[in-house]
Amino acid sequence: MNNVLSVSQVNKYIKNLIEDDLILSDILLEAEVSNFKYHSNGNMYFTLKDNTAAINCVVFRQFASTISFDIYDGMNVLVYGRITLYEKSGQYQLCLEYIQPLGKGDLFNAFEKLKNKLANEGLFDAEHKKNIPKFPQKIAVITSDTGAAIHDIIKVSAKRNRLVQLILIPTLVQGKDAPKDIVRAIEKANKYKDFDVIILGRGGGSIEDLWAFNEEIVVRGIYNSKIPIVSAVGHETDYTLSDFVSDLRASTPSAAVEMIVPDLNIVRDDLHNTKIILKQKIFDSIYYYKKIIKCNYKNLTDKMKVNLENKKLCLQNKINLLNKISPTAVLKRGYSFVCDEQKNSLPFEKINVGQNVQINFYNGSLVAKIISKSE
Amino acid sequence: MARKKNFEDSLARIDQIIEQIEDADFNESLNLYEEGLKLINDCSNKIDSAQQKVMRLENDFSLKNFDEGDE
Repeated sequence: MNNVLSVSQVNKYIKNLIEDDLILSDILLEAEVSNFKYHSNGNMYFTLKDNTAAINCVVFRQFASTISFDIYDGMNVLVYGRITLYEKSGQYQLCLEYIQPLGKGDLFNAFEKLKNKLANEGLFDAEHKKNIPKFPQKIAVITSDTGAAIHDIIKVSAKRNRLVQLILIPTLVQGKDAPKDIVRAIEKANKYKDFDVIILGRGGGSIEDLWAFNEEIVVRGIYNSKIPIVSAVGHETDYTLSDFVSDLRASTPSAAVEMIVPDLNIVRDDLHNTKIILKQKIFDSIYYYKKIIKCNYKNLTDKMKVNLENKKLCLQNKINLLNKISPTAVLKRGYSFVCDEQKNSLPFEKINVGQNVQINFYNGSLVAKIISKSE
Repeated sequence: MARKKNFEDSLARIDQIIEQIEDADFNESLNLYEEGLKLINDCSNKIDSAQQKVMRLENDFSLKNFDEGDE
């Protein structure tokens, strides 16, 4: 009959079993680093793996502080340590006491090799990059329909621009079927045609989780797309071949939205300012034309005044001249002239004796009868 | 395709109007002002009334509403 044990008791038992084992406390291992994390508590955590298996590793603070080289994902290392059990979770881990770099691992080498091959083919050349429209309206989002990426994209897009229509084309983003599925989704978007731009990506994960975006068929799928593609895979520090071949690289799915979706809040403010400017401009224009009209009016009246003055002066001169040569002036000097009763002036030859004539002075006239005539 | 570019085109036209209005003759500037004001109001209304649309492209190329948490 077994005793009923607590979890702690079981873990404690296993811990003792493992840590007393001679082989498990004396492990020399060569493997590739993955998921490296340097925790704020000073410990390092990562996974060591080969093609089929992985083991969690921990480097405690005291030893971690003495390591003089960088440890990074894809690096091959030779390590020495012992297996311990973390009782809280019941997980075993390799606790390292020695680590030595051996260069880059298989995964990293494969990445570099493919990258160089595709670069030589010209797939990453700037001349193949398509322009991202400034004001995309229909955006295809190729990612998992359950992941963090679609959630972030919807959230950031809603905050910036509700005019944008997001159309999810769900796809696997990790696992062995993911590359084919991603290519199928890209082709689907291109068949549908009516997209301004595609965001292709997924949220953060281990280098293995992101690996689909390093696969050759995915890179070629992106290259062949007629619609511009923004690659948004993982976190800031993650680089995949998708990033190199795509038309724009965003560090995260949220960043992709921030890069390509204009913020309508800013557009709205701009429009408000533009309205003020437009009103100011029309007021300026009205003011300007008013001034011109005023100026023209003044010009016109001024010129008219001068013109009238001139005419007046001219008239006065004529009057003066006329006055000088007028018969009245002669009469005033004491002369008079003779005319008939119809006011026709009479030259001497036409005046006959016995005829009635009118003698005109400047201030009156006389009627007289001619008594005699002599030459 | 003309439909899709409406909003962007309007914004571009507004910029153009702002540039042209100063050099236009008086009648022309009044017309530009009226056109600009209408475009600005239309765009602002569009922004204020816009509703986010998230769809999902199905295998038969139809679009279905996509709500998170559906799956």
